[in-house]
Amino acid sequence: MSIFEYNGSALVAMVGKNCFAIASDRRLGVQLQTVATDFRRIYRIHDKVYIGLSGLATDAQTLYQRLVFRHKLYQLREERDMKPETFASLVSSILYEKRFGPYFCQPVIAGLGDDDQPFICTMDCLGAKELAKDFVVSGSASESLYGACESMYKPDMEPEELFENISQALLASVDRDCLSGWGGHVFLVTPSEVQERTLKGRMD
Amino acid sequence: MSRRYDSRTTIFSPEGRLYQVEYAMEAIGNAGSAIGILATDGVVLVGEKKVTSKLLQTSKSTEKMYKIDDHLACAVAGIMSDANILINTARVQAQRYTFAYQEPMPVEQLVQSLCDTKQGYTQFGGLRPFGVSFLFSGWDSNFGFQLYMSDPSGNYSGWKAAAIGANNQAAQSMLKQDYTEDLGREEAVNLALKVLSKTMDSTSLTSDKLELAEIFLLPSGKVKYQVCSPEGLTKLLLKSGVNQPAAEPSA
Amino acid sequence: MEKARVDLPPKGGFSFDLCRRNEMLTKKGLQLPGFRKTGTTIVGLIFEDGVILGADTRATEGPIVADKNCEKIHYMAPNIYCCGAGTAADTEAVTDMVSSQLQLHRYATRRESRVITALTLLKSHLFSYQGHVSAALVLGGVDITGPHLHTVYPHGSTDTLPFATMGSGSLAAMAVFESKYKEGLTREDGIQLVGEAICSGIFNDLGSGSNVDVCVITKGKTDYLRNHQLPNPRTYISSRGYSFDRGHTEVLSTKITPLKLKAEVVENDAMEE
Repeated sequence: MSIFEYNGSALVAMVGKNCFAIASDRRLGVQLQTVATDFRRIYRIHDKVYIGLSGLATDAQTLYQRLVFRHKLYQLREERDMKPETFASLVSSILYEKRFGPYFCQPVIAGLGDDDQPFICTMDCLGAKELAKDFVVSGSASESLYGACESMYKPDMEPEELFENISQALLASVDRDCLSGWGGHVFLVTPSEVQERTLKGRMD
Repeated sequence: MSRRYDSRTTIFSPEGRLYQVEYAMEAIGNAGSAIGILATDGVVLVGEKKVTSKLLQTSKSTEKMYKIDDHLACAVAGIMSDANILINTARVQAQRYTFAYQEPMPVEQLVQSLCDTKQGYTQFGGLRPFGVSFLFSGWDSNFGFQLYMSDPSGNYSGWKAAAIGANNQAAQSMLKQDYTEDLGREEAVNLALKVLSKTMDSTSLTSDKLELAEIFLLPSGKVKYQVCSPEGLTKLLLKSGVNQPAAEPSA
Repeated sequence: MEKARVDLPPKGGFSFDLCRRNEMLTKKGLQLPGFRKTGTTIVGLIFEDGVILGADTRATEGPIVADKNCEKIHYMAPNIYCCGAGTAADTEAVTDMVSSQLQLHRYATRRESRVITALTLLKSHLFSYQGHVSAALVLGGVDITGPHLHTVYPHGSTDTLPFATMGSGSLAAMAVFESKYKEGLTREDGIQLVGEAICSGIFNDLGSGSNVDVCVITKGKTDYLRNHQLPNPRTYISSRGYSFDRGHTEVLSTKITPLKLKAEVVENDAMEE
């Protein structure tokens, strides 16, 4: 069994018109046993940057705490928030530092830049960045997410349309993955507001 | 006689003094002053900026006030280059605590850890002490709002109202006279401005010579560090009556 | 210990503190994850007045295509570029690192970087990690001594060649070069040949795919032709995608947080009156 399948996870981020959405499932398991059904793997870095961490939950939480540490110091010294691009580079360099003993996490980063341009990106657990224009996925459900997003995504979606799209893609995908599910969390970020929604899903 | 004990920070003179540390405090006596007042609903910090030249680019952010963490800020008097080092250590220290315990660092613990750093330079040879005094203000869940003052020797103590920098003694005694226990934040600001206007060397108090920062609790219960804008300061000065507009040099 | 771990900013170098734990996990039967690789066809050749580099744009994670249009030709210096194959994180990191060393070297010497300098920096780094930094590179550039093309293997050995291929598609690409390469190619013929070699990788090697990136370096000029050829356009998308009705998804709860605009309004209202 791969270490990514130990806790199970599904993560996806999608770009819309001047907005983005990032979504995850809510299950935390230890192999086939479900431990929690309200687990969060999407973290807020600041109002306009979010990171989702799939993979081994213990590493995800430690990594998140280190990221908060580094981002906080950046904020205090620079007196501004980090740009999503900068944050992605920070994550990448923290991961690559542990090239030979990695954190078992595959991050998904999504944010809105200064000009409200959405930015999404994913990495492997060594910090190899993949910048995409449409959508990024990770976690044990990533294979089915690739399929769902590949057919459901369309460019320049409005926020509400984007929400339906990403939610359906997520719910369809986790139904084909034993290790993730139990509904979902969706963050829908536009220049003026953040909507956090909890989705109802299958509970098997 | 004393010359022999001057050059070393780490050696007591026969009278039991550490001259280098005292000289460092002397250096701070000439720096722009800062006043901190503990109010019932927050902490107020007011600082005097020394404008040395009109050609000097005024920084967008604050020069004397620094946020250390969401619940903690400080005002500085002394050598800025020394202060920057200490502020940086303080910030890292606070984040390290948060990383380890997942909660904000207690105010006094932060002050103490910084003062330990300062103390080190008065005991181990070869380096000079930090020429900086701080006023720390902050809020934590155990002791609520707090105000601390520290000097180059690494001494620190908690205060209800305190002053550092030029004329700090005069300011301190004025504060002693006018401070009352039930001061609100607004009154505290007025008191601080009043004291500063009397102890400052320049004749008139203008917003470009001042900095005002406050720490208080938002209705949500979150701690807020807020710096007053120059426009806000001008309004405040007019309202408090500390500054007569006529006295302002318009030329 | 605690102190050193989160100290910052890190001065560089690797941290090995999770190695033992990870080893323990593998011993307990948990598989380590696959890393993102660039399965890759990368090539380079020398033509009459410079060097041409080429690469495909597929990144893979095991059998999954992770990125359909990634960049494998990395910047080293204005006159030097480098194609990377192998573990994506390694090729990215090693080229970034060397390119910043070259920049510093240029500041110190006030001269254009030489390809041999880049080559030496790369090979000494790779050699010191004994092949564990798995980057296979094709390095090309034009400097004061003329055009140069090198290949670098993950263990730190290097070759100097008139035409070179690397990565899982290297055989397919080399077949094209071996049959068609000749000395003194013109620019057009060179680009054509590189494109052909990459396409041979794209269509015959499963680790390579999507588009062709080309970089032409001549004396004093570099042309980065990103997506020079697009032989695999996407044809199967329904132009309007799927549409779902609003409210189609069952939502349990919604929390809306309005974002403050840049100018903060909270200011002063506490003390205005």
